[in-house]
Amino acid sequence: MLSHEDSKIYGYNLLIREYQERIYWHVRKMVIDHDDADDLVQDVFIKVWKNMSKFRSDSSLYTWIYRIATNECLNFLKKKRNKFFLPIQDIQGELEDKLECSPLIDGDDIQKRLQKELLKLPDKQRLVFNMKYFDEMKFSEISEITGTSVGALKASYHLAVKKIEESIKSD
Amino acid sequence: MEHKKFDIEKLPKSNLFKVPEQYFEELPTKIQEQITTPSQSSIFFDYKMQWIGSLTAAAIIIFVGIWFYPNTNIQEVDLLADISSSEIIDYLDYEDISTYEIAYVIDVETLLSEGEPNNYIDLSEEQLSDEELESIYTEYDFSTDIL
Repeated sequence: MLSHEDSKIYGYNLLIREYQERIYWHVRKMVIDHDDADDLVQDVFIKVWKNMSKFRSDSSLYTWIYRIATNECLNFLKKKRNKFFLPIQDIQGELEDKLECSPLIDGDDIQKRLQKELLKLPDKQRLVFNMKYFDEMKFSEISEITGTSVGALKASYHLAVKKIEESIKSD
Repeated sequence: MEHKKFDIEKLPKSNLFKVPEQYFEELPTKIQEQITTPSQSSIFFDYKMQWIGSLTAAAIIIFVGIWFYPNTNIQEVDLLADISSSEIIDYLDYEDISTYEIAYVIDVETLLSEGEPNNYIDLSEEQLSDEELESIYTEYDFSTDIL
């Protein structure tokens, strides 16, 4: 363990560089907007720094950081929904508008369509889909992060896939 | 018209999200600045906690002082001790307090025990002659038969 304060900060700097992209994309796919993702990623790493003493080696460091990032995303989206009692549809609409209008989002129609379909899913189901489909994580890894059983995760993911495919096919 | 089956697993997994130039190069520095610089809110919080701590200490000291050194009860007589008799008499005359009200609050036992002995006429001690007695009886029309 690093004892000197400067060495500690230097070491933490290396840790950030190691994990920042994976954590960023995980957050970005959930909140869509870059500025929101930027704020959340910084909050995640500050929280990790402050709570480093609480890290238990029963899980990997990356899993622990990923779990913090996941909770930050879910809390952010929950607060967004509860703010001024906006209905869920408005939040979905807001995120869809960002998919269409943001200069930091550039993809073909089918990719945008997929993202819009994902926004119709509950946050936790969307989260599981992203981790499995885009990040190609194993269900056992997702289970460790979310605290949900592998069976429930498999069911959630396959239901999400079916819902999306049905919706896109009908168009 | 039959729609083609859409297979999501066959879709290329491209990332439609972009980041500004140099974003990941600058992100660690931004995070490090926040870690090493105490926030304004934490400074305010520390000052506020110091203030609360001082007030709490002062309250404890005051409480202990009152607990161990309580004030003695102030008797009404203590309050009256500083007032002169003439002021009391003037007050009684001004307020027009009835003799009933005075009698109500006066402890007769105290009045009798504390009154000046010369205020009492001890007739048993009085040495009146028979002529003087007869004069009194005549004046007040007392029947001598009582005697």
